[in-house]
Amino acid sequence: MSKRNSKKHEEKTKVAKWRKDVKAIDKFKFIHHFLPHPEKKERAKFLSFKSFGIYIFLIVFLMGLFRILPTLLPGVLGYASNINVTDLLTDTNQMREKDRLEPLVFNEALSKAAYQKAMDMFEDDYWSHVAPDGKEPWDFILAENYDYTYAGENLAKNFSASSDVVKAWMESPSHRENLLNRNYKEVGFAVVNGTLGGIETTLVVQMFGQPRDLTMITSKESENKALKEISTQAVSTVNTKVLPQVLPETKVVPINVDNISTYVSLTLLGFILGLFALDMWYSSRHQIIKLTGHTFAHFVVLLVVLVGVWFVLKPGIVL
Amino acid sequence: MRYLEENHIIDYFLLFFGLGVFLFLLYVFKYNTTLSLFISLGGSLFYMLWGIVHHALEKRLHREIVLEYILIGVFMFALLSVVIIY
Repeated sequence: MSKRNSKKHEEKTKVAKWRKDVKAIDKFKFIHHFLPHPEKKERAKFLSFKSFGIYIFLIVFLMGLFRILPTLLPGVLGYASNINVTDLLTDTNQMREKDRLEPLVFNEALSKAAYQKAMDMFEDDYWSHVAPDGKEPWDFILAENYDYTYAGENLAKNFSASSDVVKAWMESPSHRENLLNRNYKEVGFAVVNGTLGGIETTLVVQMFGQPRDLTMITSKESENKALKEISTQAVSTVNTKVLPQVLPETKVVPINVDNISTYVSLTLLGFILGLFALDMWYSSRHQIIKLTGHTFAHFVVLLVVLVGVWFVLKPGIVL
Repeated sequence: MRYLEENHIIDYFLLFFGLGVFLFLLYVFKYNTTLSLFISLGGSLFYMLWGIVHHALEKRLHREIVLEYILIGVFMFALLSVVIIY
C-alpha cells in the first residue's frame, strides 16, 4: 500500500470510528466551550459576548446581594476578628520608636472617648470622623474632661489582626502622620464589635492627645493598672460598659464578605485568563484567524487586573 | 509576542505604559476607596479607548470589536469594584 493510500485508509477508519461514537458530536461541540472554533472562526463559547454578559451580571448580582442581604438578614455577613488593645499599643509604640519618637502613654479618658465614638458609629450607623449630627472627635474627647492642646483620631474596620491595623495606618499618609506625630503624648483605644450597615464587624478607634497641663500625663503605674484591667476584662468577656475596651474575642461569622468577593473575583479571572491563553495557543497551532479584538491585549489587561486585585486586597479599611 | 513585532509597536508601548501607570496609582492609593474606584474606572476607559483607536488605525474597526472592548472594560471595572468596596 502506498503512503497516500495508507493515509486515506487511516482517515476513513478515524471517521468510521467517530461515526460509531454517538456522543462524538456532543463532545466536539462541548470542547468548543473552551477552545476556538476552526470552521466558524470564533473564540471559545465561554469567551463569547453572551458569556461576558453573564460574568458581569454575576459580579453585579454579588454586589447587590452584599447590599440587600444585610437589610434582610442583619448580621448574616461579617468579618471575623481577633484584635486587642495591648497589641495595638505595642505595635503603635514600636512604629514610633523606629522613628526615634517617644512612646505614647495609654490614657483611660482617651480610651473612653474612643469607646463613645465607636458606640456612636454603631448606634447612628455611620463610618466617618464627623457624625451625621455634626459631632466631631474633639467633642468625645472633651466630654471625658480631657483638656488638650493637640488631639487626633484614626479609625479602622473589618480587620482581623491588631498588627494589620497598625500596618494599614502606617501605609496611609494621613494616618501615618497621626501615628508619628511628636506633639501627641497619650493614646486611647477602643475595639468594639457590632453591626454597621447590617454587616457584623469590629471597629477600632484610636485617639491621640497632649493634655494642656503636661503634669497631667498618665503615670506609668496608672497606665499599667489600666492595661491590666483591660486584659482581665478581655479574658472574662464581661460587660462592655464598665471599661472602654470590648472583648477581643474571635467571632465566628456565617459568611465572610471579604472571602467571597476575593474567591469569586480570583476564580473568574483565573478561568478567563486560562481561556484566553488556550485561545492563543490553539489558534496559533491550527492557524485560526478570527475577526475579533486582540486576544494578546485582552490577556495582558486581565493579567494587570489580577495584579490590581492583589494590590487592592487589603485586610480592612482605614479612615 | 508576534503581535508586538508585526503590529503597531507604538500602540502596544502606549498600552503597557498606560497599564503601568494604572497599576502604580492603584498601589499608591489602595487605602482610599473612592480614589481606587476612580482609578479602576480610568483604567477600564483607557483600555476601551485603546482598543477602539488601535483597531481604527488597523482599519478593521467593526461594531463587534467595539462591543468586545466595552465588555472587557466593564468586566475589568466590575471585578476591581467588588474587591475594592468589599
